Amino acid sequence: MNDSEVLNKISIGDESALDYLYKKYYRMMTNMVIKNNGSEQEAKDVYQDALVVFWQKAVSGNLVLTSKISTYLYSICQNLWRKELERKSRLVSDEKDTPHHSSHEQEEKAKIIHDIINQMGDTCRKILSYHYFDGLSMTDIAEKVGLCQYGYGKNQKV
Amino acid sequence: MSKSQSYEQLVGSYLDNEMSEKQRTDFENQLQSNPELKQEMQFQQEVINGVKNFRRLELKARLDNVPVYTPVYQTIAFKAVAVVAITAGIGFGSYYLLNRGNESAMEKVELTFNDSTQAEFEEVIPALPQANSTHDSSVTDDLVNSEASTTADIKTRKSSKKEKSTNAASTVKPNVTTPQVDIFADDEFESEEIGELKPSPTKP
Repeated sequence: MNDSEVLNKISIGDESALDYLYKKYYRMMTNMVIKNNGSEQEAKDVYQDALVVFWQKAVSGNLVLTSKISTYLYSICQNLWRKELERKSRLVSDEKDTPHHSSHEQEEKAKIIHDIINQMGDTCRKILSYHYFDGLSMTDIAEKVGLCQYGYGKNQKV
Repeated sequence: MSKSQSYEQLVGSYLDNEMSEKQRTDFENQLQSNPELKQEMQFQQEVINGVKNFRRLELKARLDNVPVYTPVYQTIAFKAVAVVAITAGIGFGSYYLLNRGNESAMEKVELTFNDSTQAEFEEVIPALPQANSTHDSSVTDDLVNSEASTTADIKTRKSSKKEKSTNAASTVKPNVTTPQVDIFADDEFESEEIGELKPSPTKP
């Protein structure tokens, strides 16, 4: 598969394109993190995050690539890893300075929401995900989850 | 009830980008002054973030299950084995070839120079041109006489194949290449060569 074929697959929401990219550039991307003081697990995490970011941008069809996919992915990885390194160094420096009550509360809330989403039916959850994360149109979502009427999808969402 | 419902829809259409430019600015202004609306807004955003996060984790879980095999030819173990195998191959190959080459060269020297000294045997390659030069028609008696000195000459230069400045040099030079070719020639050809060369020492 060349780059435009991959992008085509992603634009119709074919997740196998993601698997393909993941395998293809695994060494290249993880090595960058590992060579910059990262563990294998961190490298994997960063690379997966980068791919998910890429997916999100590409699936809505709004992404205009001016470079190769690999170059683009590589720069996402670099940015994510830089952020992570900054976060880690901040954590060490002001571990005792700032209390984390508010963030703790937010975490609680996020967990509750997560649990509720988990309890939703498959179709419901997919519609929400495709709409909010993947940014697919209602027609695309209807097609993907096997519903054919626009109105129905909209109702299910709300 | 209807108030909170309208808030819900209002926030919904704002977040879904379904508002006109004017509606948006109105909404944003209202957001600053209306804490209830603000709360509804925050709640919806949290849910949306939850959904996004859920999807993100779902995609990551999918990737986690993708086997990231590295092709066999890229693994370190395979490379190590390959290097060892290739080195061994080259080693044995050259050992075999050189041995074969040395044997035939030695044989030949033995056949052509029955009266050669022990020292000449040690320098197989340099000795050969000397040998061949003796059966060249252009070689004169004094060349034969100077044989000892030229041999010494070659010895000091070790196996250097450069020509000598003496008369003998020009005649020796073309013959220098033949022993090298012989090393890789098959046995039949070799024996023919030897047959030709054999009478040569008796000639002068």
